[in-house]
Amino acid sequence: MITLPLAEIATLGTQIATHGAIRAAEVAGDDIFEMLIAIAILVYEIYPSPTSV
Amino acid sequence: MSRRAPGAAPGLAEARKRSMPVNASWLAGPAAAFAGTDDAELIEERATAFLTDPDRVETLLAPLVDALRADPWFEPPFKVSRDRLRTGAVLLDGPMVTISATVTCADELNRLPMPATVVVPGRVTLTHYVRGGRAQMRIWRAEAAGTDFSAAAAAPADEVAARVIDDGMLVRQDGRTTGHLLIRAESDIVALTATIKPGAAPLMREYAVANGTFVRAACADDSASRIEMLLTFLRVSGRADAGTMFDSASRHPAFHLRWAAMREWLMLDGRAARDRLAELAAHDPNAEIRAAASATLPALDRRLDEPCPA
Repeated sequence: MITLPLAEIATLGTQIATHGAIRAAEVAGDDIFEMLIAIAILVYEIYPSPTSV
Repeated sequence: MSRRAPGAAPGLAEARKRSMPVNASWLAGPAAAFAGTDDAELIEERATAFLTDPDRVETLLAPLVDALRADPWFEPPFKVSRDRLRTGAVLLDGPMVTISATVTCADELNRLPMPATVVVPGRVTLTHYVRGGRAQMRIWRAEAAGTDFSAAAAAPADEVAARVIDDGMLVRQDGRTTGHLLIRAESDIVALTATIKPGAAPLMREYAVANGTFVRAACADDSASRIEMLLTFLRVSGRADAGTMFDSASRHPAFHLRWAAMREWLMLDGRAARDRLAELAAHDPNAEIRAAASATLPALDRRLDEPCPA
């Protein structure tokens, strides 16, 4: 099977984070998803997007 | 023999079981008020009636308070979050509307530094400030973000006139084009908020408070993010037989999901993904996807043209 390495795949100029990575005053009802989102937020805060101020 | 989670106290496990029928019956009550329609205007109308009826929440919570009186182990069906600034509970989390109650601590709000960013959440919200705390609401307006949103071309958000929040105010915010921050309250803020889901924007955006510059965006649709995670799972699991799933997701309305699906597919089975990649390069409505697909296509073709090592 022919696969293309990640490094050879172009990225979009506009990066969109996973749902929930930006906090709003709203609580969802899914613990597992929230846990994943908590990890995503951590990564996002540590490595903000290149467009961050 | 009943099975119990390790470490769970018997009282808690049994109380959870006892709480289930009470909660199921209760949830059917408020949820019924919003059932049978996905019309955003109608939902907004019903949410307004709900939020502005002074007895509504008290009546709503009464069966759960009674259950708690009868059984101190009773577990109400609320998702609750609490930090130093805000205590919140989701009273109803339905497919069309979420209703939450929050208490914001004025002392903490006044003590904390001003946030660096304001969120444009992408959904219409109706907030009934039971106690407004004479808080100042700073408001920003941004252009609508559609399926062709581009970070590079995003115009800055503009701050408009602030308003003071008084007791009993009902504030409608179109989160598709506005965001707000509450600052400097004289007393605690108690709010009931209905978030209307139909008609929501595809993205949630963040802008810098200092100058209105666009900072970043996140997907406002949890199902699109779930699909993205599941496609990664399929790729990591080597499920080349799931090509139709990747193809289908590469046609999703969310532009970022279309490209995420293609990336996963290319890393799994480049030959199968090739025709769809060429279609994206030629015809995708999003300019960034056309550019990314066009840039990736030659790399894939080089791989496909390499002689078989066998």
